Amino acid sequence: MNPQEKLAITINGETHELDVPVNKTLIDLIKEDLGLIGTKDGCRQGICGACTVLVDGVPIRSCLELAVRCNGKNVTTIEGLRDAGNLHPLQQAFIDNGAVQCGYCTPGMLMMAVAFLKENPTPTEEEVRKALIGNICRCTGYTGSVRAVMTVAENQGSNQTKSIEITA
Amino acid sequence: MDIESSKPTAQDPQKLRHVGKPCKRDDLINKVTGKWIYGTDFTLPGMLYAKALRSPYPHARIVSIDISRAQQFPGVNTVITADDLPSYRFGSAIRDEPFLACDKVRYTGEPIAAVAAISEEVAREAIDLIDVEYEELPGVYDVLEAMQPGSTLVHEDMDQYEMEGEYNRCPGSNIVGHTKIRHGDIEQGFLESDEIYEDVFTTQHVQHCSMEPHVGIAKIDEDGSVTIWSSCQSPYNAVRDMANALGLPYNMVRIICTGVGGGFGGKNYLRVEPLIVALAMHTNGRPVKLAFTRDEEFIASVCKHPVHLTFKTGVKRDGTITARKITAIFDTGGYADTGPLVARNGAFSGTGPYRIPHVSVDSYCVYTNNPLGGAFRGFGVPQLTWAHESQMDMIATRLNIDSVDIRMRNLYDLGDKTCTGEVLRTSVGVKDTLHLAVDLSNQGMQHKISDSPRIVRGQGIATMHKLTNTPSTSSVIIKMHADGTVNVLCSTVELGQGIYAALRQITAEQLGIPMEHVRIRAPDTDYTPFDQSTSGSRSVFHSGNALIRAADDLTNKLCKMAVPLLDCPIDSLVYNDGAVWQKNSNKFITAKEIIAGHFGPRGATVQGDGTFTPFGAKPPDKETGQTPRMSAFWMYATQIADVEVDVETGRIKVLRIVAAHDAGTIINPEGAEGQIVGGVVQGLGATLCEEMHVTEGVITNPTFVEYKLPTTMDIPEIVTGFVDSFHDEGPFGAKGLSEPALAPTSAAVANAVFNAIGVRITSLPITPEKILHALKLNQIDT
Repeated sequence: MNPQEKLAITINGETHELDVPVNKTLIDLIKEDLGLIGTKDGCRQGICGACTVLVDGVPIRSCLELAVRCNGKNVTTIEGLRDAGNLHPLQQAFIDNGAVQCGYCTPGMLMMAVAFLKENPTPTEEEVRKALIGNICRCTGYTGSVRAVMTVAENQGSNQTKSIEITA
Repeated sequence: MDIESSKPTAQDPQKLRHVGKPCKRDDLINKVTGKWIYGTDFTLPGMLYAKALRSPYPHARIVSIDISRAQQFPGVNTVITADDLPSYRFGSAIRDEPFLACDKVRYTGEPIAAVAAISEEVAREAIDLIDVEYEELPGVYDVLEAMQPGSTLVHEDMDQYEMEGEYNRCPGSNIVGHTKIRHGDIEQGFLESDEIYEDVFTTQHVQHCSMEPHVGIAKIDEDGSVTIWSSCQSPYNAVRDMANALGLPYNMVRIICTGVGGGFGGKNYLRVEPLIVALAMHTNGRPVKLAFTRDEEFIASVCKHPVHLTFKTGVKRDGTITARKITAIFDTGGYADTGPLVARNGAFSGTGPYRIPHVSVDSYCVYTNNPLGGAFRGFGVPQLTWAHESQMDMIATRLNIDSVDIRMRNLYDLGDKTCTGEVLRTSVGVKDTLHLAVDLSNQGMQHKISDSPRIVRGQGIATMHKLTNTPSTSSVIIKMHADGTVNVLCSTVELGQGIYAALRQITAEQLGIPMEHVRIRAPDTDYTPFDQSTSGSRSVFHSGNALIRAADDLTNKLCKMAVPLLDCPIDSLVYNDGAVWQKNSNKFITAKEIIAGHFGPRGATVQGDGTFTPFGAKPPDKETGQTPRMSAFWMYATQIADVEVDVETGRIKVLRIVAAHDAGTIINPEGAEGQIVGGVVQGLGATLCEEMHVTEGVITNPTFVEYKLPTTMDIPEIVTGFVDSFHDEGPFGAKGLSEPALAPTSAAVANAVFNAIGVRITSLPITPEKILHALKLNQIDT
């Protein structure tokens, strides 16, 4: 039986206090303890990016992150992306630009894209591709995801949508 | 069973409201919000977690297994070996595979024991407590060696296994399947040739790498019935194969499909299900779940068959092909899975879409102690396309003929007869795909041209055709609710390819109702009728045709019910646009009103039933491969690759792929484009960077760290186009399109590399090392 530690963690704006085994990963905490199934397990080796969540706004591979290291931190998962019931502009753009087929890589890719656009709101296409290099997709061939991110960036830039803020 | 011809729906394309128009899929909102429930997310009360102990050896006798320490580990519910099971064997072509290895193991990763426990962590620790003594046996890892008389035998008892279908297995050898084509007189054909060329090509082990791994949950009820929640592609394959393995009636096996995170063929047949069913037999009714880890995806599932191909082709000096003799040897690994079918399928498309009077094909499916080959998008055709399109360019070079011209001289026209004896009587758009590809490639490229002296540019072309497994059957039920909205009950599976959108479009078009009134969800074989499989690019054609018949059945019923309500004779009534009308009048009654009028205010559901099997299909002759109808439809494509080769590093950069496809009528334009783009990128992976490194049966790179998949930085400009083509038996003229997308890509790139630097690579993948080595050899020669 692994030793346990107390953990206070805020996930999608809600704070939870839990006793967790020290070897529990963040993805297992999210999925098993909190029942948030949106974050996906694709490889358990930190390569495929399907497990990407934001910890204090920074994209993290939740399959390699220990839950206890996130004590006191703010985590955002795909479930926390909606804004008062409305789809995040990136979510809508993924739908509109053929960026989703099986959808398994989608939550991780969206979280990475959200963090990227916050840091670089006016990227070139090359920069978008580099940002998403760590999110593997086997279905779409990536062109739709890149197009979706560029579209949102361009709309943001021309102030057609309000700027995107997330609580993390 | 009557096999009827289907009526083509020859509607004026101008009047179509849904088919061929943009249509939003209704699953995407759940996928972008993380709400879509995949097999990996699914849990049940009382569920246990499974792990398998897998052989570290490719060929070994099991001397002893001691599970006692594992059984005693806290949290373990059950530990089983083959001793705890009747001698169940499964397999889609030949039932050669035990649920757990019994006498010996035949591939690295074969399961020999399994644990069900309260958590994955406990199951993992318990597996480590199982002690196994193996006696290693000499293995056979080279497929050519495996074919030789006197080779180590992988299956000594091959003749004891039950086999579905006739594949010409050869007991006493490692040959589990042998498909033949004999057309014309091959020796005569070579005599008539001006030149004869013989070349060898090879392909590698490639892994599907679906983002969601294989996963399933099994539960056995008190009455012995088996329920499996499965991420499979083809639930009725699972019903049949599991029921046959267990000796159960088909109605005692129920497959409930969960959301699927990618399939590409890897989830078309049983893989995780035998393990969870075997465990569930010992857990007193508690469900058992197994999700493969990523390294199990490499080691313990199936992959694309590596193939050794010898092409001997006779030609006239003007480039006309007179004869082609093919020997294709598919390495199917330790168990056959669907290997004999793949080798067969590859054979029947193997000559390429070319008019050749004298053909001889021998396509073998051979056991080795390598990883298991199984269904992979293209089902043998990508490997054969690699060979026939590479050789086409090699012949063009040798005869000093242009690559496009030599193809135009030989490509099929409508009315031509194939080398399997079929007259191509409808929808033969292969030449159109070539013209379209050339036209599209003549438009400007987005990429900046490099002016570095070490970078050399080239362009290459490849064309292809593919059949679909024929005959096959799809049934659907359209259930109309009292308010006129419908559920479509159908066992086609949405893998991400967008099939549900296309089927909703066909339903909405036939019934004249809004798309939002049509809903399709994942199959449950207790309720959804038979669909042979979500494979072979067959779903639009077969399920679409079944839908048209189901819609006809439903609307006929509504018309009959409308007779007393409109007080009109039946032959004066016609269904159109969600209502039944009296012809030549404005008198009509809506479907909703009909149901209320017929059944009363609470209404009822009204069902339309449709089944479709293509007509005229006969099994090909065992010795000659001849049949009047080999395929319900043929798909065609041409791709052109533009590449840059760095002659100092050997690195290839693909600048652009032009993909021109003949898929018949396009039902869903966005979905079709998505399939082509995704398929091209998958094809590029197999061309340039993907390879399972297998050394003496052991996969040495079973992770995403070392098995390289294309990323966002690897994708070229991709230009897609579809030719006008109408299949007179297809729903609205549609055929299929998902598999051809990745087939011609490899040869197009190889031909482009040759065009750039005069180097011919005949083995996949095309790596920088191979390029540099070949360049060096060229320098030595000159």
